[in-house]
Amino acid sequence: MAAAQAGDRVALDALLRRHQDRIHGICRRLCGNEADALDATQEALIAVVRGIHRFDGRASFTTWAYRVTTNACLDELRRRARRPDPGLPDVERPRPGPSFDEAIADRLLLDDALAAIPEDFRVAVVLRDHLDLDYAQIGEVLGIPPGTVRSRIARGRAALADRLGGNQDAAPNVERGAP
Amino acid sequence: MSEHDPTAPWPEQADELVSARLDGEATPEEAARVEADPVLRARLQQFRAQRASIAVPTTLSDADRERLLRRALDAFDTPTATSPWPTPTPSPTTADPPAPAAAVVDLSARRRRRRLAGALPAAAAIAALVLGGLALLVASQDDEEQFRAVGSGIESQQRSDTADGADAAAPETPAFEDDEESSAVAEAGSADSATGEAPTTTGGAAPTELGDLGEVDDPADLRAPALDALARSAAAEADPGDAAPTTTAPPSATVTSTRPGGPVCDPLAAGSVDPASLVGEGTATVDGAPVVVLVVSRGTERVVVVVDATTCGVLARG
Repeated sequence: MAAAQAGDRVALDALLRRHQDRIHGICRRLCGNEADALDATQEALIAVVRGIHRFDGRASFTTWAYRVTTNACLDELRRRARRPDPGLPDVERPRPGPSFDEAIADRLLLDDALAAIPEDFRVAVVLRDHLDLDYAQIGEVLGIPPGTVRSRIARGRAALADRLGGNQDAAPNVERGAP
Repeated sequence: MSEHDPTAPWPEQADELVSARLDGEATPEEAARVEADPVLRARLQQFRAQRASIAVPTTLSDADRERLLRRALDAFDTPTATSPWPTPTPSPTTADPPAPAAAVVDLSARRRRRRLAGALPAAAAIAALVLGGLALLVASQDDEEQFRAVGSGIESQQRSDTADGADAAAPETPAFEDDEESSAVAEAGSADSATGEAPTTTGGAAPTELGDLGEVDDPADLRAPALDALARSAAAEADPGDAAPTTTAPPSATVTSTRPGGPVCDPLAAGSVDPASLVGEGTATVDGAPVVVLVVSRGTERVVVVVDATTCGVLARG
């Protein structure tokens, strides 16, 4: 880490390789499609490289890198939102099937559902469910208290379940419960 | 918590309870409540399935992986494969082709622009000398040796006037005056916003002219003179009466004679350093080859980067 901060390219290369997959994972889940995820990953890696000399070690490197990545992804999403719509024809998405498990197995549905939930909830859910960070770590990344993290994750999951058809009108059917 | 009416709206607090239970963040009492309620247990299974789906690792192709890494590292540093000196810390990406030719610009042209105001009177003086010299030549019909003597005087005057003009113009001239460098600084600021941290302000001031730092055999030996020159300049700015400014150092004949007006590398355009962190810039000669010496700020630390003036390759960093 110190070597990378001092400008050692080999150390920096190794550091980026170590974290690249997880950085891409955050971007992939937050952006909802691979093309935007690659752009966001690029921005995140460049932001890490350019900002590494300002990393002061108060948080862990992963916490800092995830914060940088999250910001880069959200910036990319905002840039995408400002770009004109290319006008591609709508793709017919498969409708949720009767089985909740089948529905969430559909990657397109998951991407769409994640993209549709509020940004604050989506980030918290992705940091929890994709990176397996605990509430305290997520709070450190996002700069919010753990209680807020808990609330955002719960509301994000509930919104996701709504989108995926698992909680359409009322409480879930008990008969469709645990396997 | 009692069992839910299947037709009742889903209570938000119940989701928070179930979600915390799934994450192992619920208290023992909260966990027991979820386990005791079949409706909450069913919700727990939904959330668990969602989590499993989101947790599926994403895949990044080897080509994308290398491309992303190369571009990120290029943003940090751009050593070239043509550098005659080994890069201190080579990485696999250093085998990539050097930066596009567009990164190499004529540094002397940019410096000419900076010094234009100071050089104009010098040009007028030179023109007057040339005319006077020619008049003498025609009038006296002197031999060729006398003509050479006049020409030598003109060249001497030109060097003197140009150096004076540069010294006078340098302190007022912003370091990043063209669009290319301004955009580089703006880009660095954008990266800062991405990190959520305040951008450093060192890039806003013109880097200190360190002058010629002499000739050495090892590029690493330039660190101490560069930092000394920077310190002297800072002292001179603090109290101009005590310390001699570094820009008064005599120009190095070695550096100027090895690249008489030819294209040289612009280390800022080539991305050798982050322009926003540049605090000092000088020249030197390493083993007979001209180099550019850059001092950049990394937090409280000063890092000296020695760049080959022709190839833009980084010779030393430390």
